[in-house]
Amino acid sequence: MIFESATLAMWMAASAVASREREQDTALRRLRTSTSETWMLEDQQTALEEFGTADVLAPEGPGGLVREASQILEQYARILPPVDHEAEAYFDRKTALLHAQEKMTKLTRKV
Amino acid sequence: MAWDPTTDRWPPIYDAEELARTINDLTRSGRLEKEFWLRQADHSFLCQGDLLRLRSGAPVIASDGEPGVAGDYSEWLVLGNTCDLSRPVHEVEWSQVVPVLKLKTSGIPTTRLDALRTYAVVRQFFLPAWDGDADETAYADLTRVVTIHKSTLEGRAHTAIRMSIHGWVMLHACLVRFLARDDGRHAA
Repeated sequence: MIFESATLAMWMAASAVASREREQDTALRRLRTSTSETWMLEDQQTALEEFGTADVLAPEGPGGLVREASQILEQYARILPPVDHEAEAYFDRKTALLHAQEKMTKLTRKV
Repeated sequence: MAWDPTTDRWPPIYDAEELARTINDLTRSGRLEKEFWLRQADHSFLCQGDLLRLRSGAPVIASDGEPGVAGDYSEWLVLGNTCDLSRPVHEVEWSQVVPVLKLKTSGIPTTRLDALRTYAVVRQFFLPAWDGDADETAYADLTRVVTIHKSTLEGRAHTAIRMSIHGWVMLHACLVRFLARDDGRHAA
């Protein structure tokens, strides 16, 4: 019973977070897709009041782009395995060897 | 209705989670290679992720800072965005490609090959076999991006094969990781 309650609480907390994130995404999307500067400023103000400066305007740049980039990275990271640095070094060496066999032709710049 | 990569323009955004899960499952099951390419596609237009046949060297700025042409490649992977490719040349004149390199599969240790095939390396993008020698392992060298005039893509270059939605999203994931991976400069 305790386990069930804990599970339910976790599920409710996760749902609340997901719901809030959806609302934030909607607000951010409105900001990004707006073409009228006036409309954007109004919407930006509303979003700021709703979610706070940190969520809407990242300190590194306007429009929450940093936050958006992080979400994209997180999404793609889910389908990529951890980087195998030894394999990476191996293929870097192999690639360098392949390129070392290339013939380089210098171009003459026309001034 | 399911997204049809041969006729529909974009996969629905709300399926992003499911798409990621599908690709993850395909990679873990070892089936991604079979699902990577479209066996039938309309090659009258170009898309990001297309594999091109074009004999050319790669223009580079050499170690002495002077321009040069390196290598002699016959296959390239299109990195340029499909929207830019679909625009008329007078609006968007250039696109981007990277050369495809090949190694003898028999000469690669199994653990290294597995890492390449499961996209556990950053600078090389594994390309499952589409034809040719079974003892060859192909990958796109993401470090050698070349700018290409779109008139060439419409004339001399020929599309060999097109990626499926699974291959295309994997390319996106690897491109983002290649260009936007954490460099640690802001680590606490």
